[in-house]
Amino acid sequence: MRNLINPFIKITVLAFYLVGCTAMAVAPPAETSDSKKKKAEETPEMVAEAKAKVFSRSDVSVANGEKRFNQTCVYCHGHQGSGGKARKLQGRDLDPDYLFKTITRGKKRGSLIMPPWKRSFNAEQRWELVTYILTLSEMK
Amino acid sequence: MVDGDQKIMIKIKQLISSASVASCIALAGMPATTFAVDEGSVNPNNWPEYHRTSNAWRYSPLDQINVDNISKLKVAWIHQPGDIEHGLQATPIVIDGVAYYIAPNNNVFALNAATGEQLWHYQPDLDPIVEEVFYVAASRGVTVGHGNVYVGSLDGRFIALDQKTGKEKWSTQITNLEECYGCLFSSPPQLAGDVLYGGTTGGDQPTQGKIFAVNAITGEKMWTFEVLRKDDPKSWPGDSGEVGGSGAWLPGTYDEETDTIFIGTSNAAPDFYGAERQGDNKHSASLLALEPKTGELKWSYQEIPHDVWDYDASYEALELDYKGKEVLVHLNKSGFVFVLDKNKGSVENVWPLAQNINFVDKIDPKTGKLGKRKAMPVGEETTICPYLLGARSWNHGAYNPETGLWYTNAMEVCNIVVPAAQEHENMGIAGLYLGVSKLVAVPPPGGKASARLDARDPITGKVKWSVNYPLPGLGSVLTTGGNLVFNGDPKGKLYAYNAENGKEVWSFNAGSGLRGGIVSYAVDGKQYIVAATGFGSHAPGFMASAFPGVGGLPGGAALIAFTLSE
Repeated sequence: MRNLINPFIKITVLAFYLVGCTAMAVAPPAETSDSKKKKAEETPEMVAEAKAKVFSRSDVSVANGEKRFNQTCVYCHGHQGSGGKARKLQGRDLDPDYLFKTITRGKKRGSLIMPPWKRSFNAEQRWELVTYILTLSEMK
Repeated sequence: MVDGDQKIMIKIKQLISSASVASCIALAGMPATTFAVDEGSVNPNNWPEYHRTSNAWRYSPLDQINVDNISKLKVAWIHQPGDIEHGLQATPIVIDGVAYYIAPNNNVFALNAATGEQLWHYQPDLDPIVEEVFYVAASRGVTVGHGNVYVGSLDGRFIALDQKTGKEKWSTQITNLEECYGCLFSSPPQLAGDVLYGGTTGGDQPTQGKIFAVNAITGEKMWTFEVLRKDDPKSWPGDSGEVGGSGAWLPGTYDEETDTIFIGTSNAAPDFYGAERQGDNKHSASLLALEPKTGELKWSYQEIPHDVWDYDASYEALELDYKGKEVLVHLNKSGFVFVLDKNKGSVENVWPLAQNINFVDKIDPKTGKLGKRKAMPVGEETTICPYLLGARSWNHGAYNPETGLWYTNAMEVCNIVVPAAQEHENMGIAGLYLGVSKLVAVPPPGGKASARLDARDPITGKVKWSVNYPLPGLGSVLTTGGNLVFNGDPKGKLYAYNAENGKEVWSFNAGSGLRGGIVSYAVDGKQYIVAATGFGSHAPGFMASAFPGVGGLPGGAALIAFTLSE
């Protein structure tokens, strides 16, 4: 190994002598400022309406939620909520409103951080995630 | 502690740094003799840059602490930054008895490196958007030079602080997080003379990787290198290059001899769904050689053309002399190590660090050309090895010129992938653009997920020794002139090994895992080892299905210094 790699470099005094004497453009998120404002103004009535809509078509909602979970949440929560940094989402009796609030606002505990997803997903999309996570309660 | 050659080198360095007329006269009278100087041994008492030296060796020549006396290694001091979000991921910088480091949420500290006493603290007034992005809180270090401490901030700025006081000198807004899915500086911008340069996060988001440079003295913008060759339809068909990712998210290195920046780029996006970006997707998953003053490309080598496995080429470029030729040894996340000619970027060798690789049947060691790719049909499950966190995490290896060995963590894990089209139009700022409908970390087929610290010949990959770890090492390795290798695990155990044979010679329980760097330096003739401990980051979340033991590990942040007891 030593014969193969010579870690020494050649530096000449002459080199020392010479040394001593001489907008960006990006692809913006599709969200417009209007849509951001709209999300920021999300009222309890809007949230309740979205919840009713999502829970009324549970099969579609769970499927949408699962896909979104696999695209976005799996990185920290593991496949099918099998756990990662945080507790498992499987086999737990989780309150839907608590899940929605946590996804919306994010969470911090010690070194763990979950970012808020309110600006990333609208209320319906967040409720879809909730419907999928609730299906994990049957798993152990 | 310092041999004759090193003393000469230090003296000459001092002469250069003083740059006085007197020194010019003194040098002018000297003959133009050639010195053979150990590149890893210059400036032995300091850890002046991210990898200590620009060759990315992470080698300290100090030998006061060595295999014979390491049992006397005890804690000298501990500094706690008071913020543990995502753990402590930094590599400290130590210059002339002062340690500089960055803790979560861009909290920067200067400490007396002999006592741990805090000299100053700085935290930028961060835009609240930093709370909403995926890559929150963490930073890998600061850079010190020109009397400044440089920060790449979580809200997309390069900031210069006065090295003595920690007061802000200038701040230049580089990126707009609102417009680039939260692209931010998670690594310290690096110096190439008077040029301060660096890239952002953005391998897993529908954005465009760029490398930015400013004048290190004034903060004025100099150039922007666009990683994506999005106007070339052979590389990026249609408008796929508008969202091709490929951010250069780790620190580059500057080779003063050839005046070249070496910096790697990440995977193309969407990570696993390549149907809409058929082409080589340049310059994703590439090692770039850039001209510092202009940002012009000298050469590039794309390690993984049309990457659909999340195989970044962002890791450190180890610089070595090999048979009289200067080469770069560059681990790709795919588990292959590329040995490239430093001046041309041509392939000298390719060898596998991972034992479980199936995304291609081979890579030609002479040409670097990928062999047959594993079919990964859209909508179907395929097991791909290695997984998206790589055969090693970003945390760096270390090279010891005394043993000729490269020490690096490694792991054997795969992932089940179901590639799927993903709309990016409605993604929010924290969204991931992975292009999957299923993704799960699993053990290699028929095997077990495993991890180890390897000591290898960096050119051929031949293993000298290997130590198994129950959980993958996610911190950077240190090796020293004391014939030692230091490493840490996610549980917080720090280890020292005999660099020649891998025998464990010391351990210490830090209480929370190593995610940052371990460095060594000397103050007033006394050698110290400092470890940036404290576990965190997103990585443990994904690996938990293969390594359940990483779940529930305690987070933390503490800079722990060790020295020999009297």
